[in-house]
Formats: sequence, structure tokens, C-alpha cells
Amino acid sequence: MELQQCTRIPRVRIRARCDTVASVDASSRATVAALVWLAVQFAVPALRLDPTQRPPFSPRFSWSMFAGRPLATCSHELRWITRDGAPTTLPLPPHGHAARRVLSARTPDEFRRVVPLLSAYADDDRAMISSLDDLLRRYRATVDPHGAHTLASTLDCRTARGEVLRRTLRLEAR
Amino acid sequence: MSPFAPDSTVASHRSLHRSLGVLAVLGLLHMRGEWRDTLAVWGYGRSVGEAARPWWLLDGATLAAMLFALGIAWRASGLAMGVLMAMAYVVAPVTYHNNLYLLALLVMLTALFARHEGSPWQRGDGERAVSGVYERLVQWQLAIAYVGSVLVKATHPLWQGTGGVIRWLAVVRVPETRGGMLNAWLSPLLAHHGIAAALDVVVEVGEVAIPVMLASPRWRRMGLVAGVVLHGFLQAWLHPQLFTFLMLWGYFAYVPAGDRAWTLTWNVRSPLQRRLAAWWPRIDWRARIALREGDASALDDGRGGRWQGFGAWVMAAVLSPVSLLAVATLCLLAPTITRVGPWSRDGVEQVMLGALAVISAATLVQRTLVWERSPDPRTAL
Repeated sequence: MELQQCTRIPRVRIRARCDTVASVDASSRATVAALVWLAVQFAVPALRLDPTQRPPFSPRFSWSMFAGRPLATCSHELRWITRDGAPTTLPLPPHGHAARRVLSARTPDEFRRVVPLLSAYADDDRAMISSLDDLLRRYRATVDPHGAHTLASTLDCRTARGEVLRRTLRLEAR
Repeated sequence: MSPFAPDSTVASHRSLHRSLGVLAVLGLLHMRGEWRDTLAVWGYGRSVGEAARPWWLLDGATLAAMLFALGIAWRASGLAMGVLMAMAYVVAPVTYHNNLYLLALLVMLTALFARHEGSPWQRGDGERAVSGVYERLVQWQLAIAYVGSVLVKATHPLWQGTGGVIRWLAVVRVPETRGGMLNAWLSPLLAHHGIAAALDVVVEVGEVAIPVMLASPRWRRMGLVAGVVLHGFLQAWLHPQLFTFLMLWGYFAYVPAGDRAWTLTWNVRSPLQRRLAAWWPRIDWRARIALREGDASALDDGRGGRWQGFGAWVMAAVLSPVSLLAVATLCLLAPTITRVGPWSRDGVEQVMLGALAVISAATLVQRTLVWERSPDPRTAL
């Protein structure tokens, strides 16, 4: 009887020790996984915070639905100029194409309605302008691949805080 | 208690996985509609292959979300969904959206930490105990979303108690982007500096208070009510869409499952209730309710709370993520449909959400009348 007890105790201890080690291993793995999880989820917001970053990382922290700067009130002037310097009619994209709505928008009200098409999540003014410039370059390359015309775009904006922002883009005829 | 204690159940993991899978599919299908024009602008002037690339990535992510919803054996597809969404973002930065970022994080978290074998759709075995790490991480994820949002607002000059963003939303943004009736009377109200500033403070304080209340068993029930009211109001007014449903989905990680602690008594003389009772096990994804035959409808929460009549069925439905998914389907499915007959879709949604709020409020009032306080208010929900 005593012999049986003596042999059982070490066996129980060994098993208990083994169980504890296995549990610590599982806990450590879960802790490491949770820490990696935290690092990953803050990596993108951290990258987006940097104002010097080029797209795709725009300077806005990710965890806020409405904390971004409300978009500025802008009017957009778009001119299509021949080599002689005479303004002419802009060859717009086909009817029904969303790009036509963007390129036709002139007044602040019209322009504000198409801003979500330039930056769906309305990141900030800079992201919207960068997206507009990108569209204008592609538009020019599509409708005028030989560069026979100059495309001049002037965006006059006033931010919600009253700051005045004027951005011009001129793609010269070649 | 150790954070790795086996204090959760298979029913909890399974129902969270199942409902998140459905939300992921709904959310991605919704985004396809939302991004139609945006990606048309993005693709203008690009080659056909290049313009189609974000669509392929989104299709791939949607397919991965469908596979993820099928079973834990497909957990790798949850990770694939996150990677495909990140790739879509790098290819076309306009596809970035906070809703999808939160979705990807939650899906990947579920793929890595949910502990149930087989399909989340299978039944039985729901009471088996498993580690509660998964639920804790979901709780932390929600808390990070709330607190992160407040930190950004607190450093922004148009928040900080000025009400600037709220006025802009009410006066400029919502009238231009959404239909419906709510903003028609909210807009003149929120155009007042004082009211907008007060709401600004309420939102920021609420976003800090809700995760704190949810973390405390004593305040959890109040935190859940406050969170549902906040997100319900924001959904009806600003339509954050997937964000609303992901946050409310996370609330299920705060309540137990597989305990059959609630008893739903149904009226045997009612053919409709007989049919509902037969269907209820399919709706009760979290295995919270034991059914009992009787001569009137009643729901008992096992600690003195009692709902009667129609309110019993409403409250029983609230205990299941199926109700959340039903509202999510109403709001997210087919976003290109903006009118329902002569009415705007937003208006129809607002009327339905309003009716739901009134019924819930009536249920709460009824409950208050008959509820006897439990001896220990810290008892889990």
C-alpha cells in the first residue's frame, strides 16, 4: 500500500509539471500573438500619420470616422487651350461616366458632390487634390495622346477653418 | 483570473465566427456598390487590365469572406481576405475605408483565435468550455476603436467641444449625400453652436465611457444600452453602415453563450408561437434560451427579470446576432437601390429603425414595471 503511494506521488507530480509547461507554452504563444496583433493594427495608422508619406498612405489616423478635416469648399476652373493659345471646348468623357461628372464640376456645390468620387473616404484635402491631379493627367493622356493642347486646372479652395488654398496644374502642349 | 482561463464556450466562438462571416460578405458586397463610380473615376484612362485589378482583388476578398463564413477549416481564407483587401488598398488607394480596416482586423483575429472545430454553422456541443482569449481580444479591439477615435477627435480643432464637425455634417454633408427624414429636423437643431458643441462633448465622453462600462460587470448592461443607442442614432443619421454593425457585433463578446440561462415560455394555444418555437433553436445561435410550453408568452432572465407578451419575443430576438444581421442586411444589401417605390431607401430604413427603437423602448418600460432587482447586480448578463 505504502509502496503504491510512493510511486504514485512522483507520477502525479511529473504529470502536473508537464501540464504546467504545456499551459505556459500556450499562454506565451497567445501573448506573443496578441502583441503581434497590436503591432500590426497600429502599423497602418502610424504610417498614415506621417504627412510626408506619399499615397497610398495619407496623413490621417485610421481610427476615426469623422475626425478628418472636413473638405474645403472649392471651385474648379478647367481650360483646354490650343497651341495658338485660344481656349476651346473641353472633350469630356462619355455621358454617364463618373469621370464626366468630376470634370464638369465647376461651382463649390458641384465640386463638393464629386469629391467622394476622387477620394471615397474623403481622407483630407491633400488626398483629394492628389487624386484630381492624377485623374487630369490620365484624362489628358487619353483624349490628347499627342499633347496638341494645354490643359490648365485651377482649384480655389477655402478650408473649413478659413484657410485659402489655391492649386494650379498646367499640362503644356508639346 | 488568468486571461487564458477556459471561461468561454464553443457556442460563443461559433456564433461570433458565423455572424462575422455573414457581415464580412454583406460588407464587401456593399462596398462593391459604393465604389462603382469611385473606381470608374480611378480606372479612367488606365488599361482594361489595370482598371479591373481592384475589382479582381475585391472579388477575391469577397470569395475569401464566403469561405471564411463556411468553417474554421477555412480560417486561412480569413487571413487571405485581409491580405487581398490590403492589396486593393495599395493598388487603388481610394479603396481605403475604416470600416473595411476594422473588418479585416476582426476577421483575422477570428481566424487566429476562435477555438471551435468544424463549421460555425453546425449545432450541438455548444456548452463545451474553451479559452476566453478570443472574446477578450475582440473586447480590446472595440476599446481600441473607441479610444482611438476619441484621441483623434481630442486633438482636432474642429472637435474639442466646438461642435464644428457636427454642424458641418448636419448642414452641409448629410443633406448632400443622404436622403431620409431625420436630418430634416436635426439640421436646424444642430446648426446652433451650443447644441452642436454639447453633442460634440456627449459623443466624446460616450466613446470613452462605453468601453469602460462594458468592461465592468456592474455597468455592463448600461454600457450595452448606451452603445446600442449611440450606434443606432449614428446609423439612422449618418449611415456609417458596416462600422455600426461591426461594433454592435463586438458587443456579443461581452455576454455569455451556451448557458441557456433565459427561459422563453410560449403559448401552446397559438399556432404562430408553435411555429416560432419550432424555429427558435435555429435563431438562438448563442444557445442562451431554454424553451418551455405555457399559456402565455414570457421571457425570464433567470435572475428576476421578466418580459411578457410581444416584448418577450423582441427581447429574445435581441439575444441573438440574427437580429443584428437582419438589420445589417436591410441597410447593406444592394446599395445601388436608393428608392423603395415612392420613398427614399434612407427614409424607409429610418422608419424601420425608429419602429424597432420604439418597440425596444416599450419593452424596456414594460420590463422596468415587472423587474425585481437581482440580489447581486454584478451577476453576468
